[in-house]
Formats: sequence, C-alpha cells, structure tokens
Amino acid sequence: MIEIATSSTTTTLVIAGDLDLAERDQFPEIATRVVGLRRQLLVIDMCRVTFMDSTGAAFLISLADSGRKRGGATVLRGADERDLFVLEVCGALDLFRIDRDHRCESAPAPSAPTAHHPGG
Amino acid sequence: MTESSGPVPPLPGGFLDAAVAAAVIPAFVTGAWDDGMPVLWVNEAFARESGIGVNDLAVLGKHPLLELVDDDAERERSQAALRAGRPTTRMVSGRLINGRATWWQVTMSPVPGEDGPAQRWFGTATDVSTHVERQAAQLASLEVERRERADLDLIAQTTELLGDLEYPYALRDIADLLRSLVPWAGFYVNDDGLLFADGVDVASPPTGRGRRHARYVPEPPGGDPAEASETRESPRDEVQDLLEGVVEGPVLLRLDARYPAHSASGWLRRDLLRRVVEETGALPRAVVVHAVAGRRRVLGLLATWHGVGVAADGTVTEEIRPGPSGPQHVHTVIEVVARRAGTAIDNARLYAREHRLAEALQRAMLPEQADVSGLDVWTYYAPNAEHAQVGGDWYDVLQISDGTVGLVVGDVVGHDVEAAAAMGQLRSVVRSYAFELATPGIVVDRVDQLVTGMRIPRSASMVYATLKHQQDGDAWTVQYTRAGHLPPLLLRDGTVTQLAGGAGSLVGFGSKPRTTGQAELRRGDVLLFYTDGLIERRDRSLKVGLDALVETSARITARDAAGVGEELLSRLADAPEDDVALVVVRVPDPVADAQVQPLSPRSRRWLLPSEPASIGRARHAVLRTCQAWGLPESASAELVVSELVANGVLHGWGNIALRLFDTGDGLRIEVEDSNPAPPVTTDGHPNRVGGFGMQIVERLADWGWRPAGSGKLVWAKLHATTVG
Repeated sequence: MIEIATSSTTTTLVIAGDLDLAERDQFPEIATRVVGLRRQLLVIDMCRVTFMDSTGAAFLISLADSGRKRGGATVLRGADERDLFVLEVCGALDLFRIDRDHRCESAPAPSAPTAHHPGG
Repeated sequence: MTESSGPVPPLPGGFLDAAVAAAVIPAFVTGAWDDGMPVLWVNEAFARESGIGVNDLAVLGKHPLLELVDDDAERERSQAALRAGRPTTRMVSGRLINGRATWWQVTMSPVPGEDGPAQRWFGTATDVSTHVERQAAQLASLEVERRERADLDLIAQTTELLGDLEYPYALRDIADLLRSLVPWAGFYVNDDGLLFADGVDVASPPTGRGRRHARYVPEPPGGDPAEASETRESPRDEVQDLLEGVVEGPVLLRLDARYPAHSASGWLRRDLLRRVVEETGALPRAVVVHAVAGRRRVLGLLATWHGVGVAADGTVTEEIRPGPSGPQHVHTVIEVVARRAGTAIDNARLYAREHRLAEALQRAMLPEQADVSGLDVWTYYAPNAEHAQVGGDWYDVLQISDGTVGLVVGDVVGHDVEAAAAMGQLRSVVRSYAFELATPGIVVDRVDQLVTGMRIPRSASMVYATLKHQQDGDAWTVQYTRAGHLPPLLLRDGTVTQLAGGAGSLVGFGSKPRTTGQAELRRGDVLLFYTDGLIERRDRSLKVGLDALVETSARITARDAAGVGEELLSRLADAPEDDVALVVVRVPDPVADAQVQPLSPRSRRWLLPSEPASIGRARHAVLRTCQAWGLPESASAELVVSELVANGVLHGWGNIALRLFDTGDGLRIEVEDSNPAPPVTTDGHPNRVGGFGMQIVERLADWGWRPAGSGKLVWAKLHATTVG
C-alpha cells in the first residue's frame, strides 16, 4: 500500500508491504500524482516495506529522476541494507539522500531476517 | 608408302598457283597497307562465297575489305600488325551480299617483295559462322543455367531465413538478398495500417487488416518531388486493391503521381520515396509491388524498385513501361519470394494464435492454491509433457470460512483440451457448492445433479473434503466423500491410513445419496490427496501402485508439506505417464518440528501460475525453506528468487517451476518456464522496469541457463559470502 501526504514543501510517500512486480499496476498513477504535486522535496518512507526488488527500485528511481529534473531532491528513509543494495546495483544511490538516522516509529522490523542482508 | 627412298621430289612448276586458285578456302592477295591494301586477286572460293569479285572490290576505294566487315574492338590491334608488316589472324563478322551475317577467320600473311618487306599480302578467310554460333549458344545456355542456379540459391536462402522468423531481421535479410537482382527491395506488413518490416514479431504477427495507413513517415530528403513537378492524380488505390485481394498483382506504383494521404498507395509512396532515396541516393519513379499473401488474406507487400527513375547523378535511367520491366526471371524470383514470405508469416500468425489460446486456457485451468491459515499446504500439478500443457487433473484449496478449509482433487478422463474444458466446468461447479453447503456428501450430490444436466462430455472422479479446526487445541476434523477416486492417505508417525470411507460412483453417476467419511487430524499429521498419475504405471496394476504409495508414505521423514511432496515425487513420479495432481496438507507441530532434524532430501519444488502474485508466493516458499534447512542467506535468496520468478512472469511462457536445492555449499535456485529464449542482462534504464533484475542476481549468485524440455531453465547458486 502506498500513501501520499503533502505539505507546502514536501511530498511524503509512505510505502507498506512488498514493492515488486505484483504492485506495478499502481506505480504510474502514483508517479503522476507525485509529479503533479510539484514539491521540492520528496520523502519516501520505507519503514514498512517488507520487500523490494528491481521492479520496485525502478519505481523509486523514476520518482527520484523526475524530481531531480525539476531541481528537487528525494530523501529515502527507513530503507534497510538490502533495499540500499538493490538501489546500488541499479546504479541509483546518488539519486537519493539516504536518511540513516531515521528511526521508524512503531513499525515492525523492515524486511525479514535483518541479520543476513546482502551487500551493505 | 612401300619403301623408303630418297628426298621427296619437288612439286611441278605452277602447281601451287593452281592449288591456291582451286582451294575451297577463300583466299586473296592485297597490296601494301600504305597503298590502301587494294585487292589484287581472289580465288574462286572467295568469289563464290562472298559473291564479290576483284572488280567489285576495286570500286570500294581504299581498304575495300574493311568495308565488308563490321567494326570491332580488335581492329586497331590488327591494323597495327598490318602496318608493321607482321602476320595477323583474327575473327571478323560481316554481311554477305545476300544479307546473311557471317563470321570469318581471316589470316593475313605478308609476302616479301623484291624491294622491301610486305609489298603484298596473302590472305585467307574461313567461314566459322557455325562454330561461333554454336559457341554463342553454349555461352548463352551456360549463362541461363548460372542465373537459374543463382535464382534457386536465392530462393533456398530465403526459405532458410523464413524458417526462423524469430530472427528479428529475417525480412530485411531477404530484401538484401533480392537487392542482388534489383537496386532496392523492401517488405511491408499490414497491421492496422502498413508499416515497413525488418522482421516479423512472432509473438504478435501482422493481422493483414487495416484500410487507413497513417503511420508517421518523415519527409523525404529534398522534399516531395510530386509537390513541385506537374503531377497526375491517380484514379485508383491499386495498392489497397492488392492488400484486399481485389487484384492479384503485381501492380506498378507510380511515385510521381498523387494519392490521398492515408490511402495505401499514398502512404507507401511517401515511405518508399524516403527510404529508396536514403538508401540508394536515386529518386525512383515507379516501383513494382507484389502481394505477400497468406492463406486467407494479404498480410503485406514486397516492393521492388527496378531502377526506373532518376539515378543519383540526375540521369533518367529508364522509361516507365506499363508492365513490370526487367528480365522475366527477376519477376519470377520476386513472386516466389513474396509468396513464401506470405506463407511463413501466415504460419507464424496461426501458431501465435494457437499459442495465445493455449496459454490463456492453461492459465485459466491451472489450479490455484489459496493461502489457508493454520495449515501447511503444498500443491503440485504436472500435466503430462507428452500431451498439451493442459490436462484433466485438478485440485482446489479453498478457505471456505474462518477455520474451515475445502479441498478438492479430481481427474477428468483424457489429456486433451476437451478434458481440460470439462475439468474447468467441474471445478467451478464444485467451488460454488462448496461455499454454499458444508457436508462433502451433500456437496457432491448437488454436483451430480448439476453435471447430469450439463452434459459434460467426459467422466470424472474426485475427492472432496473439508477440514474443520477444533476449538480445543490443534486438532482438525476431516470430512470427505469420494466419487470413484482413490482414497486420500493419512500419515501419522510412520503409519499410513487409507481414508477409504465415503465411497461412491464417478461424478454424475450417483444413483444413491453420497456418503461422508470422517477422520481426526492431530499435530504433525499429514493428509495426502492425489490423482492416479502419481502411482499409475503401465507395468503394474493400480493396486500395486497404491501399495507402493502407502509404503513410500510410511517412510517419509520431512516435517513440512513441501518436503513430504518432494519425497513422494522423487520416489514415485519422476517419470509420470499421466497428469499428476497432488495436495499435501500438514498440521504444523510447533514443538516437535523445532526439535527433530528430518533426514528428508534437501530439495523442494513448486509449480506457479504465470502471474505477479506468484512472485510473492515464491519468496515465501524460499524463506520457509531456508528456515527449515537452517540456511543463513535467506535475504539474498529471497531477492534472487524474486528477480528470477519476476522474469519468468514477464518474459516466460506457461507455468513457472521453482526448485530449491541445498548443495551443502549454498542454495541453488532453479526457475523453469516454457520460453526457450535465454534471459538477458541489460545495462538497464531507470524507465525500463526489470532491466536490473539479472544484475542483482549476478551480484548475489553464479547463474546460468540451459534449455529444458521445450523451454529453458535459469539457475542461480548463491554466493556463500553475501552476508553483509
């Protein structure tokens, strides 16, 4: 599930659950809405993302890419090591500002057994 | 020659004169070159054959003999020899007085005079017309033969290219071959309007339909010549007639005429002007258009330019003739090529249609497994590979209500599409009653009633069971009824019980009310539902097969449903002769499962429908398996499985088989689908979803692929040290 919240400067995207091919159908609409809001800052909250693969990464990348083209920035928070690994393989880490200090509130541990994340 | 004697006696005087004068070979004597080589004497043969005497030749002025023969390239060299006084021999052609064209072999020998060399020449002229004609005929027939061989070779190469339409440039390569015959050739297909074609998209071949041709064509370089020059409006859209099969073709499309913008002729003219100018530099004035016809309709066009128009240097190369110009054999070849291409594209079209139909049916027919709470359920379905990818076996796992699960395993006689269709109908019927009615016997009674009226053409057997969770503890009650189907098995601590109650006749044949059997399930118990494909072999009776299944089941040590299924399949059904459907239900035993380390083989398999929801299920399966096997790299495994299965769903054909193996030094993942095309690693692009999938796999695992069955198998072995 993906929720969009907005303030005068920031769009916040809260994503929960799996971010994979099964969710792809909703990506274009969300991307259109995010772009339509035209905020300088896009915050993607990944605290409740249970899994992300290259399809999900491609979605985040397309959001960050269209933000950058308008001179905006994209912050990624609550992403676990495996999510960052996927973005790194996609060569897209520099599209994001990674918020490593963010502590997810009352959210369950991100992706399954966190001790064994690849990459990192 | 009677005896050898002295030297040969000399010829009598004057004999040679007489011999030359009477020789059958025409001979003559001329004066010196500088004097214009006047003919001084001819023999009788010369006068007879040429019909010309010395006096006739005298009136022709200087070099009278030259007047008799045609000019040719050899003349200069020969005259140089005459000037220099060297003997010369050459062939000349000429016309006799009677008008007959003749070839002569002429020899000229200088006859030294008293005051200097070559004052006179002695010549002979042999008529070699027959010889020359025969040689010319031979050469001509050789040329025809060579051309025929070349044409056949071209057609053979075309056939070969058409044999592999998957190759994306098949049509372009054929057009290139044709360009050895004509300056330009190109294919167009009609797929909701004409478009230029390098190849045929076999997954979605052209339909051959479309009357409005509006695809974008850039302006030809240098603008449209028809805009500037005087043009003529063409009365008919002949290309459209060709596409619709009104005329058989070929038609000549004039490119200096005007046609309505979105007509077939108009569109083709614009596209051709641009392409031919770009590729050859010449401005064509007319092209020949052949129909590329399938069985029922024309699928496209083969346009060939035969060099009529304005060449790159601005010269007009040939006049437009009303019919196709150029040698006949070129047209024959082009026609054959167009016809073969049409047949090949049509075959691809028909095959793609069949394939789509089969795929859609297959997806619709593949059993689905609902995730049911509180039970470990594993399902397996393998249609017999020798038959279609559809079969008559099926299973269903339904969450009827909270705490109640419905289970169906059934078997419709046959392996064909009709069996699959009957199965689909039956499945729906059972489903709808299962959600309405509780007791299995009553559900199947109602199924019987409905099926009798539906005239389902095949007989079928099935087991229907409900599992109800008991309020106290982890016990479940199983109620079941069997319509001519083998008994489900209950596995408990190494003993196997056949659930043989609730027996009845095949579906639709019940004359008395169905009965319902009952059993209790405890923690750690396993229920086994199967179709006869699991145990049926040609070389043994069903009874022996069932005994073997019972015996095998008693030895199962796995403590997860997938493991139970794996042990059964690996021992019983590695070469099934029939469809196999298998449902394993296990009641988890949280306490004992954690303590006992099973000895069962460390491999698992799942068969997943080609749909995005399967990706999540596959990840779930790999996580559970890694936990069951105590493997640490589950996070990497989850990612690799997700990418591989997503690729299978996106690019694969048919169902996706997922297999996991514990190699002892890392997890091996295999994903199989029915598309033989290998996976590709792309450099990816932010907007191209999935482009990075294989790169992720590459970072986490060694991977490869190989052909498997009619499709391919992609494997990945996880690196042992991916832990971050």
